[in-house]
Amino acid sequence: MRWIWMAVLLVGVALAQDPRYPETTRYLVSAPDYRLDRLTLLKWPFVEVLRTDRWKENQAAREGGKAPVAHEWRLPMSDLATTQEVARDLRRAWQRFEERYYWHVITRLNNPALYAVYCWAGLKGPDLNPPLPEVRVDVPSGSVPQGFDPGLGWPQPAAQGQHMLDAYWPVPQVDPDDFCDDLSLQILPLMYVPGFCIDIDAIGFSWCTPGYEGGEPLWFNDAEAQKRASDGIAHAVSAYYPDYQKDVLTALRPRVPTDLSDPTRLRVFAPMPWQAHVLEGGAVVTPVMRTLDGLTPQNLVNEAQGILQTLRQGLPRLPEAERLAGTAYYYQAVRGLARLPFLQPVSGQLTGLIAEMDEKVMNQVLQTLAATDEGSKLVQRDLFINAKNAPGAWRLEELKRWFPPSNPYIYERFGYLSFFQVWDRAEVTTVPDFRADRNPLGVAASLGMRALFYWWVPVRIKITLMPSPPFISLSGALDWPKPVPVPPYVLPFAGERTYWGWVSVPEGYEVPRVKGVPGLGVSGVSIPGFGPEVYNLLLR
Amino acid sequence: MRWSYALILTVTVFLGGGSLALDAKDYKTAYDLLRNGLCSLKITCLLPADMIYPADWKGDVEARLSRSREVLLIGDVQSFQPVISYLDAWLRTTDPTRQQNRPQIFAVVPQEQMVWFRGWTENPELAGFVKVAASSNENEPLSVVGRTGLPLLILDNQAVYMPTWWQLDGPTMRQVLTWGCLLVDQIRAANLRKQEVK
Repeated sequence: MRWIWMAVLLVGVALAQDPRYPETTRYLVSAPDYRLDRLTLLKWPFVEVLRTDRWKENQAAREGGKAPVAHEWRLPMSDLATTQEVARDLRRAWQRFEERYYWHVITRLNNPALYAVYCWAGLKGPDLNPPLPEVRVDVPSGSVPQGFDPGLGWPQPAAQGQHMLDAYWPVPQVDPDDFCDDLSLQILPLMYVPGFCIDIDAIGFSWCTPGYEGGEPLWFNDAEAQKRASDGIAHAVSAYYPDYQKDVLTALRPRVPTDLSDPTRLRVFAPMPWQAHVLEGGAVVTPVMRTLDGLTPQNLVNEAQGILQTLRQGLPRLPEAERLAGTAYYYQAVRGLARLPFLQPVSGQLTGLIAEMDEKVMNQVLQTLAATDEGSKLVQRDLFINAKNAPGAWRLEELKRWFPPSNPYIYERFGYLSFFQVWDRAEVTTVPDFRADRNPLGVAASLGMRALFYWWVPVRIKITLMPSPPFISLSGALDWPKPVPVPPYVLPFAGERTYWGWVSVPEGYEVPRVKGVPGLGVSGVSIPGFGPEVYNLLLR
Repeated sequence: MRWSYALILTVTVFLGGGSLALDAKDYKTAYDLLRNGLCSLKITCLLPADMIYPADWKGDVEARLSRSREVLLIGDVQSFQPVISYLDAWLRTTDPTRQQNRPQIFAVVPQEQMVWFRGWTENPELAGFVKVAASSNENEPLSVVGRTGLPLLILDNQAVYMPTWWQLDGPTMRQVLTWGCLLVDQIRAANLRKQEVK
C-alpha cells in the first residue's frame, strides 16, 4: 500500500505544474462577515478585502514602530436584485445614447422633412424599457493561473452583446428634446433635383430622366449630405457621448436605506469605486447577495444542486488526486448546510445530494491529498496546496469562480463570494454594434434599420395637350420617397463603453479587474452621492 | 448588352488588379473607373465612394508612417508587428534629424498585450513619446476583434490602414476619424490616471 502511495506521489509531482500565485499587488477577499444573522441585530452584512503588498508594508511599519499603513477595507454588500436594476440602468444609458445618436444624424440629414415629423410633430415610439438583465458569472481567463482549465468554458461578462436596443423601431424611442437640440428648420441649400417623367397621353409619349426608374434623383447634393452627416456625428461626440458617461455615473449612485428596521424590504446598492470604472482605473464593485425575499429553503437546495452540477463537470478535468478529493472537499459544505436549523424541511433533499458518500472515506481522501502535497514540498514543489499565497487546494478553490451569486449561507459554507462589477472597455465598432447579435440576420436587420439614408421624393409630371387654349395642361404626382445611401452608411463608434457583470471569488483569492485602493476614485470621475461617510449605517 | 459591358469592365478591373499587382493608387483609379462606368451604363450608381484598397507595406504604409507626427494603434498588436518594429527603430535612432521628428504614439490594446510596449514605456527616454492604455482591465478569453472591434492603424488622424495591409479611404473613413480624436484623448487621460491609481 505504501508503495502505491509513493508511486502516486512521484507521478503527481512529475506531472503537476506549480501554481503561479505572484506575491505582487493582489486584492484579496479576506475575512467576510456576511452572516445574515447580523440583520436581526439591525446590522448589515459586509465583507473585508485585503491588499497584500500594503499588508506587508503595514507589518514592516509595525515592527519598525512607524505609522500603520491602510491595507484592509470593508465593503457593504448589495442585494442581487438591485444590482440587476443598476445593470438595467447602464444598459438603458447606452440605448439612450444609441437612439439620440442615430435620430440626430438622420434628422439633420433629412432636414426639413424628418425635422417636421420628429421635432415639430413629435412622432415617437415606445419609451426605452429594457428588461432586467440576466445574472450570470463570468470568469476572466487572467484571473486563474495560466494553464488551469476545468473545461467549464470561459463565460463572457453579462454585458457582452447587450449594448443594443431590444427592438429597432422605425421611429425614435427617446423624446424629441433628446435629439432635436442643435437643429432648426433648414430649407436651403437644395438637397436634390428630383428625377421626373413627362407623359403626353395624346400622342402616347412618355420620357423619364436617366436613373428615374432606378430610384435616383437627377442631381443629389452629395457634399451637403456628407457635411450634415459629419456635423451630426461631431455633435454626438461632443454632446451625447459626455451625457452617456453622466448617465452611467447616475446609474452607479449608491442606494442606501435610511434605517435597517425592516430587513425584508431592504434594497441596497453600495458601489465601491476601486478605483474607478474608466480605462486604466480598475472597476466599480460591490459584493452581492440574495436578500431575504429570495432566500427560501427550496432556492437554497437549487443553488446547492447547481454548484454540485458545476463540480460534476469540472472535477473530471483535474489531476487524479484532486478529482477524488474534490467531492470530499465540498462534501463538508453541503453537510453543513443540511444541518442549519431553518433548513430542516429540506435537509433530506440536501443530504440526498451527497447520499452515496461515506464521511470516513471523505476524510481519508482529504488526508491523502494533504499528505501527497506534503510529499511534494520535500522536492520544493507545491503540488496541490500553496498555502502561503493561496489558501486551500488551489485547483478546487479556483473552481468556485464558476459558482453563481448566492446567499450568505451558501457563501459561508462553500467559502466564496460574488461581486457585481462595472468597468469600461475601449472599442471601435458600429452603432448598432455589428458584434452584438449572434444571429447574422439580426445584425443585418438592426444595421438596416439604422442605416443612413437621404429620402427623396420622385415627381411624375403629366403633360396633356388640348385642342383649345391654353393648349397645354401640367399636372404632377408625387411618388413614394426613395432612399439614397449616404456615407458612412452606418454610424461609427470609437471610445470607452461601460460593461457590467458578476464574478465569483474564492475566499482568500484575487478579485479580478480592480486596481489601487477601494474608495479612492480618480480625478474627473465622481459617482454622485458617493463619499467617505455614505456607508456608515451599513458598516456599523 | 449593358450587362456584358459591365462584366467585362469588372473582370478587367479585378483580374487586372490581381495579375498586374496594381498598387493602391492604381487600384483606386480602377475602382473609380468601374464605379463611374457602371453608373454611366445606367446599371447602378449605388456603389459607394468608399473602398478598401489593398495596400503595400513598403510603398504605402511605411512611406506614410515615415512622415507621421501622430500614430494611433487600435487592437491586436501582433498584426501590427511591422509597425512596432519600424517605430522601435525610429524611437531609438541616432540620426539627429530623425530623432527630432519622432512621432507621438498612442495605442489601445488588450490587457495581455500591454507587455509589448514595456520596452518603450519603461525606458525613461522614450516613455514621453508613448501613451498606451489597455482596452479593459482584464484578460478575457474572447478574440481581440471581439473585444476591441476592428484593428486599425490611424496616422495623423488622416490615413487609416487595416493590418496586412488594406487602406480604408473615402467619406466613411473621414466620419470615423471624428471619433479618432476622442479615443486619443481617452488614451491620454488613461495614461495620466495610471499615476493616480495607487
